[in-house]
Amino acid sequence: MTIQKILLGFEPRPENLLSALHAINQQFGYISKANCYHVAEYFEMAPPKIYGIITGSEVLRDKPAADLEIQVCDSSFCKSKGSDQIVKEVENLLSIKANYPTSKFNLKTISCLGKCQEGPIMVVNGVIYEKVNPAMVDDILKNYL
Amino acid sequence: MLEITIDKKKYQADPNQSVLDLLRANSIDVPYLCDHENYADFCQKDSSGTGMSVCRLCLVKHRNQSEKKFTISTSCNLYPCPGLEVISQDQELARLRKINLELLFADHAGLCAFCYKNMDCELQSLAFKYDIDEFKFVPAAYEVTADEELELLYEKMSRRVIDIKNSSIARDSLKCIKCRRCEMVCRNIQTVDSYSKSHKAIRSNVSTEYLTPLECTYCGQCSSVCPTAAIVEKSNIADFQNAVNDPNKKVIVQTAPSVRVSLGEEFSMLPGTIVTKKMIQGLRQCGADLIFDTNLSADLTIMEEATELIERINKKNKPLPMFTSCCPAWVLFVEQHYPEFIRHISSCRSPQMMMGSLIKSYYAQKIELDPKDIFSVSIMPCVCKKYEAARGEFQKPNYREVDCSLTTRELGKLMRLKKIRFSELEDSKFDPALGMGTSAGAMFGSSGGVTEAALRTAYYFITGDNPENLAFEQVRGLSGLRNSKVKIADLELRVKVVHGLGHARAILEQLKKGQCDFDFLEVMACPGGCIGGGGQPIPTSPKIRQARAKAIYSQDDTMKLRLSHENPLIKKIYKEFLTQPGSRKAEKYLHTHYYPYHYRHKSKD
Repeated sequence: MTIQKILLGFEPRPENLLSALHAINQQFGYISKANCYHVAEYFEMAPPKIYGIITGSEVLRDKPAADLEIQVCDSSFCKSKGSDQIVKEVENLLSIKANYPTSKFNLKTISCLGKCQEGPIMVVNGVIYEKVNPAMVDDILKNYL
Repeated sequence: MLEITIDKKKYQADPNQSVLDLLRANSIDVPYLCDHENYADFCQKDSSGTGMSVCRLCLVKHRNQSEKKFTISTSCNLYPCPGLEVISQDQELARLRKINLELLFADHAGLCAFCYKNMDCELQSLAFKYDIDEFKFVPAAYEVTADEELELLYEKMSRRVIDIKNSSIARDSLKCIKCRRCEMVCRNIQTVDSYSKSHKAIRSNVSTEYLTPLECTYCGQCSSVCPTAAIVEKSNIADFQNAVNDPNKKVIVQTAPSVRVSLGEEFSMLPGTIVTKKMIQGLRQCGADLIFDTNLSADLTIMEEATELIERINKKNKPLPMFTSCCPAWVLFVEQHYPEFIRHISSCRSPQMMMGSLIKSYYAQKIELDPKDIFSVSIMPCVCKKYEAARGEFQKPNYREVDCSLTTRELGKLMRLKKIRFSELEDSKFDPALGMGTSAGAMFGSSGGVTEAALRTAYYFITGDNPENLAFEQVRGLSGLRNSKVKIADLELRVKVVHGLGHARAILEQLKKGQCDFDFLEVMACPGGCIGGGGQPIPTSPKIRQARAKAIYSQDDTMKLRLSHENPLIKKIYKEFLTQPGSRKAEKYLHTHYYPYHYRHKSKD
């Protein structure tokens, strides 16, 4: 499905912008600069504004996904259960820094997923791991490397 | 109109104007960094409140009639209601404002000592005023370990976006306090919309899309409203000083009509003080060899433009209506957004480039000097003139027609660097070779001036007589859009004068639909014309613009020469060099071409 076809599914009204962006994000995995210009032209909005919306969202991406997408919840409950330690462990194992994505790894701290009972929560490439402790991190990541 | 109480005094308030506007109108001192006086004239404050109540400095205490306790909130989105009681100054408010200011400073770079805008910065002056001496929200050096400090630095620097790709505007996100004034000006006044808030929370930033280098019309309004040095003009002071220190180069300076009415503000003079003579002496002390007047080339522009207009009407060789071409930001705006109207723009160069071309051809021949050995500097009220001087059309194989362009702010900075005491300078005059302009040229500084000057000369060209009443009052003023009809012999000329790109866009949209009710359109990209230009001293508010415009028109009343075609130097130049307006030679040296704009950075994915 091309970008034009996706856009034609929406009427060019401001209230449809977010759903259009979600559809593009789902199709391509992220919203590229060229696609941003297409959207801007279709909705008659300025490209910087659309970039602002993309970067303001947790779901929409402005860069292609990394090979390994790791998310660790750092809301209060998971934090009290020691999600900080998990973040540090991942950082040490992959020698990356949280919230500074590289092309290979992307470690992101996210807000609550509503699974506080099972915390701390770690998500690796869309798979949710519950009750993670720092010792488990190595084993989990081994499946993906 | 409502009656509200501010600090136990009664004031008449307009319910559609915020309390901050009222406080400002009555010159009650309230700090603010995200609101700006320029907004009021030009844009409706939208209910979503973009760019509003971001800085949290304009806090006031207020209560309704029915309430007993005072509430504290920002005054910029507080609207008057009957019986409102406001307290604008007290100890608690001062404490809260100080805390908010410290928070802004904590996010700010804190590199004042070697900042471009040091001692010239709105945030810094507020910090002085509120006596901020310690930074409670920034860990002191002894509180953090070396590793933590490194991490903090990494955190800060990894988010930094520096953009110095274009020749006009330099941006550094590290110094940004996210007040979003630039966004507001760019979106609502200029409708170019090249900035937006991006990312969230600690990473939030005001940036272009996908952090691409800025590619806009470079009008520079963002740099004139920025309270810090996050957006500044790209400085050419070093280029100027290098040329001055180079013994082989002859430094020739030209000064724009609107610089002389605003430069005084850089040295805390009243807005609208005419400082032509002191400015010339100051420039000589800065090391300029010769100083010429851009008013002269403004006169030349008028001669060429009036000729072109009459040609367009009579010969119909090019489409009507004709647009003026003195404002490079406007020309760039058409090239970028409305390339179908490029043929409507007058082919005349702007006064800056005409003077640059004259200096490196006519004058260089006259004094028998290689154009390479001349360093031509223009002092302009404009940031976009830097872009114009760097345009491809004005690059000759081994020299540039204008080597560098300084803004009014830069000139003030340069003079302060040289420790020149401006108010004590002696009077001096322009160099006679290319240094005499008429008041018609001087009016280029204000919106409507080009039209007025062109009408005077067009009148002469058509009828052979000068108009009886030289002042065309109907095109003057500072309202955004002015229409007027002028009868010259049996020809009725419909002129439109516009300033601010937002108004210009509205007219071009109408033109696109085929509604055309004018023959001549003057556009200045900045509000108020060059007197409100992007390179003018900060602050620029409607009141200050009015004072500057008044000074410009007062020159017109006092000067003897008020018609471009009567300027003896213009006659001499045409006799010796250009033969006549619109001739082959004039075409070569005074005219240019325009092309649809090709976005360099945006096309790359």
